[in-house]
Parts: sequence; structure tokens; C-alpha cells
Amino acid sequence: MDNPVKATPLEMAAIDVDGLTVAELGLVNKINLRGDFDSQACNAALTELLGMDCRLEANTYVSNSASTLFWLGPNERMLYTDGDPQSVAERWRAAPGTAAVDVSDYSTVLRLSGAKTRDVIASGSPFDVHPQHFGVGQCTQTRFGNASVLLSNHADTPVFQMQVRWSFARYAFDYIKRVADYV
Amino acid sequence: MFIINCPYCGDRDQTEFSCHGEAHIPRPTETKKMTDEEWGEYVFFRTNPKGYHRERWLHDHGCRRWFNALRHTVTDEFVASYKIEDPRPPIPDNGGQS
Amino acid sequence: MTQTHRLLEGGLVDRSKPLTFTFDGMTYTGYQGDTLASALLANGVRLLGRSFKYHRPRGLIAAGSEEPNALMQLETGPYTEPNTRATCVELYDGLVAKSQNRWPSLGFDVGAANSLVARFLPAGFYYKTFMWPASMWMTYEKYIRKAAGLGVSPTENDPDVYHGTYAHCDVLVIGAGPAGLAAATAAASGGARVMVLDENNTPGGALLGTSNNAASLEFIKRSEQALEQHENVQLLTRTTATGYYDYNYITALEKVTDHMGPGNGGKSPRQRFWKIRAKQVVVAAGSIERPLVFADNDRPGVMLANAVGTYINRYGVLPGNDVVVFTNNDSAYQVALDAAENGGVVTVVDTRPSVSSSLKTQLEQKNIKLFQGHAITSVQGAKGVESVRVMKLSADGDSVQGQAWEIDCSVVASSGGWTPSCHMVSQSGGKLKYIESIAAFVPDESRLKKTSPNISAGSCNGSFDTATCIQQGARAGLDAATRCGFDGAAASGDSFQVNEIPLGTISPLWLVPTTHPVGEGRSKHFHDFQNDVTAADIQLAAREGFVSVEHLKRYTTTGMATDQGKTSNLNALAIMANIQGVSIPEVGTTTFRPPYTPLTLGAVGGQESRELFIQERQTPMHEWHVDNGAEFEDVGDWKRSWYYPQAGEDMHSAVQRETLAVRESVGMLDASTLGKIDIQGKDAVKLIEMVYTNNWQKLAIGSCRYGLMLNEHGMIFDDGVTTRLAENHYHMTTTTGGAARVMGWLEEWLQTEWPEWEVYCTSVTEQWAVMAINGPKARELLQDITDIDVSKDAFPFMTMREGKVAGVPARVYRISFTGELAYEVNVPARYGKHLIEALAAAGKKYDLCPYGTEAMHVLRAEKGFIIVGQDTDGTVTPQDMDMDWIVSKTKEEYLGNRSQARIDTQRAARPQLIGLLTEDPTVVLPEGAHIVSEVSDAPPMPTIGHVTSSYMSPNVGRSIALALLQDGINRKGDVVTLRLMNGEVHKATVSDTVFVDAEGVRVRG
Ligand SMILES: [Zn+2]
Repeated sequence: MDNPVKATPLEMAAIDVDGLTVAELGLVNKINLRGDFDSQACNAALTELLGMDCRLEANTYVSNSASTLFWLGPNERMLYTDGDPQSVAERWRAAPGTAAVDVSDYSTVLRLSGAKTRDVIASGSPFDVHPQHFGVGQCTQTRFGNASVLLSNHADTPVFQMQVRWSFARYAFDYIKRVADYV
Repeated sequence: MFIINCPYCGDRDQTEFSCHGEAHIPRPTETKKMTDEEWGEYVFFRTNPKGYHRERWLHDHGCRRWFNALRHTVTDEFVASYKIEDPRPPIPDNGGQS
Repeated sequence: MTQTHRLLEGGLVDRSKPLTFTFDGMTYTGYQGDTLASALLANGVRLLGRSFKYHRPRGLIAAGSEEPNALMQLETGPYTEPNTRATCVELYDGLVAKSQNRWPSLGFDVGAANSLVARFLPAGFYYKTFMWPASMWMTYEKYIRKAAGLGVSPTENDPDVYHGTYAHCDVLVIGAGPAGLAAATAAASGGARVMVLDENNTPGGALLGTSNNAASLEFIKRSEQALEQHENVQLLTRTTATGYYDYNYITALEKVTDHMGPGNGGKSPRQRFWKIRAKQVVVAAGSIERPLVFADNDRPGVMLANAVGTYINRYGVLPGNDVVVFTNNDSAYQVALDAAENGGVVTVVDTRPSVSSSLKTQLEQKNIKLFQGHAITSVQGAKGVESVRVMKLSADGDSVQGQAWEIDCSVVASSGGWTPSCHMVSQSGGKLKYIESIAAFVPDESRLKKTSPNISAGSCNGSFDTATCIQQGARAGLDAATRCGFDGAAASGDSFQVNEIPLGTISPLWLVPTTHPVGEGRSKHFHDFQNDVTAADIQLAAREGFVSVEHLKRYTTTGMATDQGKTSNLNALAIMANIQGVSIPEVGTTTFRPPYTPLTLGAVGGQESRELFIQERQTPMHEWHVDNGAEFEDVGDWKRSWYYPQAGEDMHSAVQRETLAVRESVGMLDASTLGKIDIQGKDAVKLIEMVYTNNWQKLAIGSCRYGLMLNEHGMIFDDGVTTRLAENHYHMTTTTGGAARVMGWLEEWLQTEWPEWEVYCTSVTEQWAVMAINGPKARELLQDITDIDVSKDAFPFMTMREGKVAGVPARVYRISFTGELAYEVNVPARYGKHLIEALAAAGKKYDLCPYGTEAMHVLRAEKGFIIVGQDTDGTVTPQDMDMDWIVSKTKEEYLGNRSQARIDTQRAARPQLIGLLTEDPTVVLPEGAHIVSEVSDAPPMPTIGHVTSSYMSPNVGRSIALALLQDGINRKGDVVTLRLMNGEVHKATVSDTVFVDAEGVRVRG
């Protein structure tokens, strides 16, 4: 019991077919941050916490070497951090009118790349991922099949990330795998 | 299948949303002083207009925000969607023909 | 067999690639590029089916998707598909087709006797004959269906795979004929995202059936190349727009590998279902020729004129050597010329008293005889046209007179004008307008639905010459792109010209008279071939008062079934208008419904079939359950371990063993599926006080409390345990199935009613993997693997402790759903598998037994713990559940509070939860069984309650049940009667709901 086995929902399963590569990102520390992000105080606290300008337009994300901050809603952000989630959460909670929850294991993150990426996502999502509509730096919560997902665009090549709840991860992965043959 | 404008996220497919009926029905205060009829009016009775209708929608596969929308129940035209705290946009005066 | 009707040259078929196929067991040869229809025609096969009602012999009428007759049973075994139109099936090697609607064979058809007694089968005969008694319809229907032969469904699983996808574009162009290609080219020129759909295997539309193939093909190629230059353009062939819904949402079916034959598509899906969202739509769907409605116009060999032209020009097939062209407009003259050019002996019968001299000259040059102001009054030949009789029309067109001419022929090419394909615009909510000059409806651009903007162009907009189609298309494409914010190149369109004879002046003759009044005698004037509806049926409908267009459709069935009235609709309306003496627009049109052409269910489902049909949710310990032989139960979308059968065990014995083990030693259950919500903020307790019925102000940090949630009707809708983690921080649990509902409920109130409260709710359901350890040895087991002091005093019932379990960080809640000493161990999901393995290893010496949801149900029922949704059904209050103890009498307000005092919730004799002990302890009552106040032999019997939960309890040593019984709480000790569906009657004693450890000693042990 000294070395407890850590698992991810897909146990790092991968897809590597013509035009599509899918990898599970493993254990990503994730914190759900809440607060009045329109307020000066809130933004200042967040800037100090993450060391970057954290003012976000709706459905965009921002990142530096240690953190990625996604817009989820007017008073909600998702933070991926290299830091210890408990202590980052506690520091955030110190700011007034805020909340933070460690949700590292609530979901997993799939990285999709390759020429078929957009067609694979379009097979399950009514959200338009055409580069003119969803560029690098944008993120969105939407539907993939019957799973709620957080999609983000990380490179034009293209590289997308899809965050999906633990219990839906197998479903989403199988979905991607099946349509990879069809597009 | 509608396109619905989330006041936070913009135009999205209807399947990202769910509709929760008539908007602008505040919960009464001092409920214990209400008669059964008054309470029943709040709990059970809703308008069902042929025409413009203010409804509550939830962007549940999106930003998880509740908002209000003004929709025409015959043409399904969404005239406006607005945040809970926003003032009600006016009802168009064309009788809903589109 | 030789291809007797194949021309030596011409057409777009590849004569170097012969393909073999069978039809009704006979083997034939066709070419690459043929449809099943053109290949059959090339082989001289004219009789392709029998009609729906009268079983009359039928052949091809059309060359496209409007074909009403030639419905085929395609392929065999799991690949078989009924009701495919031969005109839409691309020929491939080895194709197997059978005719439908014939029994026992096509040539000899028992059902054909129907036509001898035709007067007994008028319109509405289904309704009239089988109206009474209603119960007999089921009996009649079987025989009607067999005789009618609508094809057979496959009985094996579909081996094909299907793909569905969403797509988005600025401009969607429906149809890749001249107008569509021009529209797409213009729209793309400014950079708009363009999608073009066409049901054919190649773009070109009507041009593919015209005589100057080479020039047409060049134009098509030119247009394709122009489109290829733009990376934002997608041209989809073999793709039919099937439905047009609100906000420009268009569905389309792409036949990806159908043309390769079954099993030959490799990994590709057989079909793809497109769900397209377009900012603007250009409808360039073309038009459909109308048949003339004359006596016995359904004989095999009577075809649409343009179909004859298409078979000649596109497929190199002359449907017959002796052709009579019967028309009321100019366009069919081109077909006459084409047939003569290819060796046909052609006669033209024109209903109009005079035609232009230039047409006459062209006919004379080809030795084509012309009858002006004449009409076909009869068609001879039972299984195929042998000759027609032609007589002079009266000036008003209502009768014929004079000498009858008999003309030998094998083909009648008839044209009653052209009907623009307004299906898509009508489906979009747009309205149509009637244009006298073309005797047809076109979209009314001033009455489109605002939410579905579109522009019609080309012949679907009533413009029938190619040059105008191209100009209109280019204009429409540019306008559509402009509306999307793109600048386009000037839209002049291609200057391509085609040899064609435009429609000219149409002289509508909606019902062609014969020597006796329509409806008398043996001959029939069909306007709807697929549904076997005649002009006489419309007359009957009118006589009986079914004059509204919607009534007419339903009474006569005209316009129904797979062709949706493509060839019949306008003729039916016009005949009704004539009968009533009103104009066609006054009769009105029916609204077109999707799908435009039939869809397979497989395509609609797409990839979301089989294991992707429902999203299956799994816990972090799922694999362990599988490895340990669990059977699974669906709870919501979750797969939960139901029970773990050991060798030789059935479900009953496994559940009994698991249930006993929990009360005798210790058991473990995967409880990860319970909903979990993290609640933070200074107003958190205000929210919790509002959504639960009991008091929460004084809950100590680290303590847990059970709560019941009511809706505003005062009815129970969820329950669970909530724990105070810190000053303003709570952890709420919900039922498995209610997790999303409760989360939505909290957010709804917070966002819409109490936005000023500082409370944040976050779902953490999957953050935590949860194992519930239950049983007298639970403490010993847990102590072995945790650094938390789990002694009775240090860790009392209904508290929470944090520490390490199995070496990983954990929150342990001392709560119980079994009435036993119990702990729920929560660890981050990544450690879920580790936790269950550690527990299994440490539990060996305590006889730890994994148990599933079925044993959990028995255990909780032994304690009288309710399951929301099983013992409640949305109509029960806390008082009905005998849970008044959890309803605060001191709180100022909570949701559902006022409803507790409603007259209805206060009334006497409400159903209330009680226990039931059957007279015979071995009888396990079925859940749902009714408690009745009187027993009689058959229902109805007065019901006073029903069983909600029922099990064999090994711990009680007999069956137990929970039930809702009117005034039940006051009836404990009474004996009640239950009458089961199978007629059995059982007596049971009303008891308390707690069957084990009523004092609650064990749980606090
Ligand atoms: Zn939103």
C-alpha cells in the first residue's frame, strides 16, 4: 500500500489511425474556480495566483507554462495546474466571495490531433469547429454524442482537447474510435 | 431544431439546451399567509399563449446558466434572449407574423 | 439474354463494363452507369410490379426518384431492403432484385381479381369496410397486407454500419443541376462556406438526360472545376436532402457505398446522415413532369416524356420502337425528336388545337406524325401497351368526338406539364403561389418563414429553360452569400446553351375525356399510381363531402406512401378544383412532409447504435466488478453491479447469500454512482435549509444528516445525506438517478430566485470513488487499513472523518443504508480500483462479501428505508411515507412547505407507506400488485393500494413487502387482500415498515 496504483478512466488508451491520433493526458490537476470574475479584486487575485493576465472573453482560455485557465461561465473557470490542487484551491478561496473545488478526477482529458480531428468531433457535436468559427485559444462546452464535454483548440494542425467526465470517458472514447473509421 | 442564442455563449444548437416553461414567476414570500387558491395559482397555473411567450431556458450542455427568452409559439422565432437580471425586451407589435 | 432495347451508342453508360444482375430469378446484363431501371428497360423488361389496390400490372413511369411504381425488394438475407425504387438503384455486379406486390408471381397474380371487382374497392374502402367492428381490422389487415405486398423486412441484424454527422455552412445549395451549380459557383466566389447536395451519382441534374451530352458534360466539368478551386466548398453526390426544419436545419442522406453492392464498402459506412445548419439555403431542386390523366394510363409502357428522353440520352436505351408522345405543352417535342433520331417510329398527340410552325417543321423533318387537338382515349394491352386510340377533343376539352384512330405502339410518353419541386420550401414553412402560365405552384418569396431563409432558383422556381436556370442560380448564390456577409464576383453565370424546346404555352387538360364518362366502364384514369387512386375516386370523395385538400388526401390516400405525391399531387388538386368549379389555389395544397425520399432507420441512428445507443456510464471500479463475475443492472445510464453469482448460483441464491453476509459479517458495495454536490459560500446553509424539509442551522462541522427534498407541490423528489465539511462548505449526496436533476434544481433556484446569495454548487459525482462497507465486522476491517481512529466514541454514527485509507487520502462517512454498522469510504477516483483491491485483500479474514444493488435493496427494505422513485412516485408527501419526523415545524420556510397544508395533502385516506407480511411467508408479491377492497373474477376491482417493494428476506426468514395503502398507517394489523394479474389472490397483514432491528442498535454499534 506504499505505492497505490493511480488510474485514469481509460488507463491511457490511445487511438492511432490514418488521420487521427488520440491520447489520454493522464492525471491533470483540475480546479473549478468560482467568483465574480468581472470584479477588479477577483482578477487581481487570479493574476497573482497564476502569474498571467486572467481576463477571459467568453469561451476562450489562456495558459502559461504552469497553468491553463478555461472560461466555463460568467462566474466559473476551469484551471489546469501543475501545482498542488489542494493548496492552489486554498489560496484561491482566501479571496472574498470565491469558491474552489478540486475536480482533478471528475474528468479526463483527451488530446485529438490529425487531419480527421474536426470531422470526428463534428460526428458527435452540433458545435461548429471550422477554423473560421473556432480558432486556437477558443474553448467551449458542448455535447459530444450524449456526453457533455469541454472542447478547446490548441493548434491549427489541428490539435484539440476534449475534457469528459470520468463515467462518460469510455463512451466518448469508443465513439471517437468508431467514427474515426467513417470520416 | 432551433438555434438559440445563449446570452453568454452566443448562438448554439437547441440540443445543448432545455426549456423550463414560463419565465417571470417569482416565488411568493409569506407563503403561509396564502390561500390554497393563491398558492395553487403559483404552483399549478401557467399561461399557454398562441404567440409571444417568455420562457426560461438552461444552457445545460454549455455554460450551465439559466436565462430568459422571448419566443413565438407558432413561428418559433426567438425575438430575444436575455439574462435573468436583464429588463424584459418588448414584445414586437407585428402580431408575431414572420 | 441480350439487351434488346440498348442503342448501339450514346448515353453515359460504360459499354466496356458489363454487369450481371438478376430480377425475379432471371439473369440479365447491364452496364456500369445504369440504374436497375435502365438495365431492366434495356433488356425489354416492362412488367415490374403490381399496383397496391387493384393489382394491375405496372412498369416504369419515371427515370428519377419520383418513380411511383417500380418498387423493388433489393438483395437477400440480412441485406434485403424493401421498397427501393429501381430508378434510384445504381447497378452493380451481382445485384439481386425481386418485384413486390405480386403473389404468387408477377405474371400470374391472384390479387389481380381485385380489378374485376373494382367497383367494390372505391376510395375510402378501408375506412368503410373495416370501420366496424374495430377489433376485426387486425384480422383483415393481415390479408390485405399480404396481398398488397409492401415488401418484407429483413429478419436478421443489419450487418451494415452507418454514420451521422453535423455540418455547417454559409450557403447550402440543394440540387446540382444547372441552377445549383451556378449558385454554388457564385456563392463560393466570395469565400463563403458552401455545401452542394445532389441525389444523383454525378452533378448535372436534368442536363444528364438531354440530347447534347458532350456540351452538357463540358459545362458540368467546368462548374465542378470552378468549385474545386475553393477549399470551403463541399459537393456531395448520391446525397438527397430529406428534410428541411426550423432555422435552416437540413437533413440529408448520403448513399456512400450502396452502389458497390452489399458487403463491398470496406470500412466505409453504408450511408451517412447529414445534419446541416446553413445560414442561407439555395433551393435548386428541379421539377417533376406530370403525367396526363387518361383512360388506362397505367399500362406498362406509359411513361413520363422526360423519362423516355432520359433513358435514351443518359442510358442509351430506347424504351420501345413505336412511341406515341402525348402532350399539352412544347417540352415533350424534344423527346419526340430524340426518339426519332434514335430510330423510333414516333407519333405526337397534342391536346392543343394548334402548335407553332417551327415545331411542325422539326417533326416533319423526322417523319413524325402529328395529331393536333386530339387525345388518347384508351390504351390497349393488359401487361404492356400494344396500341392507343386517339380521338379529336371538343373545343372545351370535356369530350371527344369523331373518328377514332388506332396507333400501334409500345411506349406512350406523356407530358402534362412540369411541377416545380417545392417540397423543401414547403417543409421549411414557406408558402406557395400558383402561376397560371405554367399551371403549377412555385415558392412565394414574400411568404417564406423568417427563421428559415432560402432562395429558390431554376425550374423549382418555375423557370424551365436552361439559360434562365443558370442566370437565376448565379443570382441566388450571390444573394445568399451576400446575406452571409460575403462579396461575390458578378453573377452572370455560365453562358452555356443547350438544345431544348422550352415548355411554351401550356394548355392544361387535367382530366382527359374518353368515349364514356370518367368512372363508368372498365377503364381507369389514374393520377396516383403508387396508391392506385383514380379520378373517379376524387369524384367520389367530392360527392361524399371530402372536399378539403387534407380530407381528400386522407380519404383517397392520394399523395401518401413513399413517393409523397411527387407525380400525383397537382393533378389531384386540379381534378378536385374542376369538380367544385373553383380555381386550383382555392383548393389549396397540402403541406409537404419529410422525408423527401424514404430513409433507412440505420442512417438516422448513425453511429449511435449498438453499444453507443445509450451512453453507458462506468465507475472507477467497473473492471473489478467484471473480473469478479458481477451481473450488471442499468440505473439511469450507469452500469451498477447487481449481484455476484458464484459457481452454480442463480440470482436468487446469490442475493440471499450476499444479504445474509452483510448482517452476519461484512459486505462491500460500490456506491460511486450516488450524486455528489460540493456546496460553498457564506449563504450555503440558507440554500440547504430551503431545499430540505428539516433543520440544518445547527449541524456541527464534520457531521452528516439525512434530508428529504420536496418540489413545490409538496411531493418527495429526492433524498440523501449532506455533510458539513467546514464553516461554509457542505457535501451533498443525491440518489443515483436524481443527481443531474438535483444539481439543476439547486442552480435553478440560485440563479433565478436568489442570485444575491453567495453559494456555489459544483458537481463532484465522479471526483470520488465510493465503497460502502456494511456489517458487524466493518469497523475491524476498516481499522486494519486506515489511520483514522474508527472506535465507537472517536467516530460516531452520522459523522465524517478525513485520513488515509489503504494509504490514500480519504473522506470516510459513517452513514448506513442497511441499518448495519457502516462506513462509506470516499477516495479520489484515481484510487478507486486501488481501494477496492485493498479492501478485498484486507477483507479476506472477515469473510468480506461484495454485494450488488439487489442485496442492497433487500437490506434497506428490511429496515424500511425508502427508495425515491420506487416507493415514491411523485405523488407522495413525507407524511404519506410516515416521515413526518423529518419535516421541520419550526423553520420559517422551505420549498414545498406551503403545499403540506393544501386540502389535498391534508385529506384523509391518502395512500401511506406500510409493511406487508403475506399469509404464506414463501409468497413474494410482485411489485405493483394491487391491494383491492373486493375481489371479483375479472377487473375492474376497487383498488386501495399497491406494492412498491417486495423481496424474500433471509434475515427475517420470510417474504417482506412495502406498499402504499389508503389510510395505511392507521390500519396496522389489518389483513388486506391482493389480487394479482394471473388471478391469484393473497392475504397479507399490514405491518410496520421496519422488519429488522427496530430499535436501531446495530447501526450505532
Ligand atoms: Zn451558455
